[in-house]
Amino acid sequence: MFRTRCLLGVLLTATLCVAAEKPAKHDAAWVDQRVKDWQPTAEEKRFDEIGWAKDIREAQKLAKANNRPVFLFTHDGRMNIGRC
Amino acid sequence: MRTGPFSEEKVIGLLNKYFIPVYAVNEEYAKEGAQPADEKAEYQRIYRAALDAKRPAGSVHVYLLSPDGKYFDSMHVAKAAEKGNLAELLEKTVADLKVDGGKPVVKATPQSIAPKAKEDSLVLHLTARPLKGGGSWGGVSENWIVLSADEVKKILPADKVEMGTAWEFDKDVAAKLLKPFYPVTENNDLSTNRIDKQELKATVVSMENGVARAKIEGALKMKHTFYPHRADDNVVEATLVGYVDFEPAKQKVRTLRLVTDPATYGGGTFGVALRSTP
Repeated sequence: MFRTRCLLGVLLTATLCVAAEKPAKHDAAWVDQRVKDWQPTAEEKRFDEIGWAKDIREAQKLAKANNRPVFLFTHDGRMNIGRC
Repeated sequence: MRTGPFSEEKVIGLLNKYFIPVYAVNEEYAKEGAQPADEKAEYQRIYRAALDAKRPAGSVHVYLLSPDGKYFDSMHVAKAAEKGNLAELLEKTVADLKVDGGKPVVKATPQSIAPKAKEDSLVLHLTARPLKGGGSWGGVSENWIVLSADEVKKILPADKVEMGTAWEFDKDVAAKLLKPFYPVTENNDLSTNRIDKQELKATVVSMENGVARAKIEGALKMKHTFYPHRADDNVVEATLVGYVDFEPAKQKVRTLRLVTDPATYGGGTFGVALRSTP
């Protein structure tokens, strides 16, 4: 009986602690968490793992110096910020 | 492409090991674009070389040049975006040109970086992402917004600040903050976004050591077409919540955060988070 009460007490305390730590909706901590949750993940930023040259002329200069082909992608919008 | 082939392990590896990758923003290479004349001329030369070779050519394309700068091959974006096609084209190019692989020639660095701004300005970073339903492409979009010192003053109260002080953000500065509040779409010309309703109200909820915190509450209704130059019925509707920490004596913002809760567009929901940097 005592053990059951103790267990219930622990569970109740733990529940209250979790409830107390959870930020109230729309307070600053809640806003901070939402901002954090919606930042781009590493998986969403894999585009940044490619070593992009600054512009076409620089790419051609480096291609010649390193005997490598140029890969050029032309596009509308701004691929670097995902607005394209 | 960013969330497709350019996020695939195989394509990233091939580009870094065998190629000099570069991307070109068409707007910058247009007649009135920001790129210098010789850079624009090179873009045009490559495009015309593809046409002369009777190979795929257009504004949204992949082009491959041999190490000496000659046109080698090309592919339309729709085909390049289909799984496997771009990797196959890259592997064929490597084999045909007998390219020796090696370490990346250009060091990979973050491509979305904060714009240079004056020390007294406020630089803000925005992310937009789809949550549920349609109305958005996948992935995450970002924007950088810079408010000048004068604009910062316009979003803060001009008079004495105390607990409960309430005010509205200046209409024009609020519009500058809110126009990028749209999901991941193909129309990214902010001048085409029409705000039909905007509210950004702030109320001081705490004051400590010369710093005030104000809760921000707001709403946005904005016409935004999914594609450029193509009319549709899509409208952004959002409820906004956030806070601003500021020094009333210096009229300076320390921290600004603003998020949607919720935001809808085109039959789906999306989320936007705006934060001051650093």
